[in-house]
Amino acid sequence: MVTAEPGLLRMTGRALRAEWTKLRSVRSSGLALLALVALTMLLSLVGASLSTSNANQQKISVDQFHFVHQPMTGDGTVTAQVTAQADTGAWAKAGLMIKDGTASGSSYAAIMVTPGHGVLMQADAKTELTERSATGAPWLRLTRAGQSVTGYESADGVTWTTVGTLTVTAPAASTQAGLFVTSPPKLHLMGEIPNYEPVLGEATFKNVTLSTAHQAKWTDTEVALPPAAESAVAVGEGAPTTPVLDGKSTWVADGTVTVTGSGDIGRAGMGGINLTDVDRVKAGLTGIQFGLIGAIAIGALFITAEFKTRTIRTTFVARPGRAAVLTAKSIVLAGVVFLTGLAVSVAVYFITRPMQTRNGYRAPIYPQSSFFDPAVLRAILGASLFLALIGLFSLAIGTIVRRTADAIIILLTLLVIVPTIAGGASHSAYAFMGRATPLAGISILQTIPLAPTSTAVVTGTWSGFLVLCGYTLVALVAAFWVLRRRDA
Amino acid sequence: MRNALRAEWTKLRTLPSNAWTMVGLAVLMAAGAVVVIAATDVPGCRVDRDGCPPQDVTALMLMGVHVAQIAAIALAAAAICAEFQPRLIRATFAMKPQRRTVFAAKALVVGGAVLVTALAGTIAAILIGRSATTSKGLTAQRGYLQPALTAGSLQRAVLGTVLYLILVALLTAGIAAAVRHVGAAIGIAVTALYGPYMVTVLVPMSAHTLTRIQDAAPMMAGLAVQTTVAGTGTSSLSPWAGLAVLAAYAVGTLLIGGALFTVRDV
Repeated sequence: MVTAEPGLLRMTGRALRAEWTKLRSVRSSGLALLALVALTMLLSLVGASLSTSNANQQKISVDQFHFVHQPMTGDGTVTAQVTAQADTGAWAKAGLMIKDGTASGSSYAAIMVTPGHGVLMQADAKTELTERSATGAPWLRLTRAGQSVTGYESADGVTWTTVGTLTVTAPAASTQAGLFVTSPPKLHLMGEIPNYEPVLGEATFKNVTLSTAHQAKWTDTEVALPPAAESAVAVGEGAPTTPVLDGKSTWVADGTVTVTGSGDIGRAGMGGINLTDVDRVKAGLTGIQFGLIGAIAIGALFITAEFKTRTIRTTFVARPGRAAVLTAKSIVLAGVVFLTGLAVSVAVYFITRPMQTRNGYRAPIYPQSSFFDPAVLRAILGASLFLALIGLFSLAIGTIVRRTADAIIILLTLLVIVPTIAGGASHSAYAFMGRATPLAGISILQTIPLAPTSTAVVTGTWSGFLVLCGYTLVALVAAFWVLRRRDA
Repeated sequence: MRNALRAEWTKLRTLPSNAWTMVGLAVLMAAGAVVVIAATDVPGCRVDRDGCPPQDVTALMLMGVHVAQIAAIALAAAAICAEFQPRLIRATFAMKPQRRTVFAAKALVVGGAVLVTALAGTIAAILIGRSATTSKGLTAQRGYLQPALTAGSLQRAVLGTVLYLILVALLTAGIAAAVRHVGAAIGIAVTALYGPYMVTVLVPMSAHTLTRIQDAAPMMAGLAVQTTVAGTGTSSLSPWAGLAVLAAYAVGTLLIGGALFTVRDV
């Protein structure tokens, strides 16, 4: 076997050269690749020029949480130790707040811990400070002096570190101070439409003190938008404002209190609140969903054309190892489609990025992506691999059904027509398409986890891609099997 | 002309694959309706409180048109292109040098075949779709009001769907005559029909742009002929105006394809 290796290699080299010659000398291959490039460009450029956003101009804020509070007149300090926080999401929030009354949307300053993003400080859904050092059971403190509120954190309640000082518009006379807990809803993206499932966050506080406490009694308030106003705020903009679950507080004799609450505080681009259209790299590369028609054409025709003209017989006479022929075809096809896909993906990325910026997709809500960001490189390489895999899948289907028209129809139906109808007709069917059909591979384009709290309804970056790999592998194995067994 | 028609009809029906495609068109029209209805989400709207927005049951039962039109495209592409690859078209032209007549005969035969199969499939889709809709729980309370079989709007949608499928076949025939490659013809026809639709599904855009694309796209404008509930259709155009847009595209490709068919070397 070892001595046969060089001969095998030479034979493979010849088979590859033969297939490469066939591919490049046939006019239809060039046209199919041209279609791949043109259709990808077309959809991506149409998308980039038609989509606009004014999210940076609008104030899309969210102010929903459970508040355990007392009045605090004038200056004062509130302190507590967060001994436990349930990990209901990376951006679940628990901490201290000083707020102008208890109406949603009023002025506030807050310091909080999150399970995934350390300590944050916010004021009036406008400014945010981050301090990624929360470990163990951090102590938090909020001190008000006039319109300035300073946040501190501490590991032991003795040595305090300043997180920052923010200015609030809240008048000194009518403020409430205390503890708050909230947890953003889970996003279920069905088609283009976001659906939100409420989540109840939970945190336990100890050593709660308020410097200006006149009364020992804490009041519970559910800070939430009035039901009538819910639909008026940020609907269609993707900011998770609804729905919320009612929270509560449970005091234990030693001064420990467990608080539950749901909702979120902050605004789009702040506190982990994202709009669903924030992944601009993915949006820019959408065109490959159209360009895949070119990959289907080149993949299917590469073998069906040989069956149609009976050249396949000559090929098999020249090279009786049929598996080697299909292997050589697969390698040549995958290489050519991958490189073409890579060229068009890089081009589309650099062309659509400034177009998106012009159309309002700007920082802070839409921070500009960097080409060398690993996630961006993964998306661009992933787009090329996606097209190459679609090409290989088409080659396999073409080998199995042999007739050009049949192969093209099966592939276009499966990869273009059915997903497009499902997207327009039914959320559940669309979700199924995105997870369980070859088109699930489109998930590799994601550069931003859509919502940090998303459940499996949003397909994972790699899981969807592996589904496509699985389909391609199964189809290729079946193709090898029938090619060896059947007459040519 | 009669001889040409008979010759083309014989060629069309004697290829087993074409016969299967014709049967397939009717079966897919009905089967597609069943699948789409089964996949439709029963709306979660509060029946007792706000009521449910009215849905277009007729258009839902005719959703099989999306898969049936693939059969129409395949049939038309095969009928025009099949003679080019083994160059049989030379024999045809030797027998009948009036190429315009040959092309017209091919188009008429394809159109006639689609007329018969689409009519059978569409009527079957309505009859099967009625019980499928009810058993899925898509009731009048949920906004799915079942139209009477005698309703004018339903009959117009049925007739319109048949005409839609004929026009799609003719559109493909024109493309096929121009490109003379079955795979390319199918690919271009599907891209022309679904490309604009894909754009509207994938790209967020202003309502104004959306309407303009819908009204100019051959499939979305053409399928307006199925709309029986105002505001739920694939286009803002009136049913017949929408179908006229598709007809304009079909006439355009037939003229271009017919001209190329007539003047080009074979």
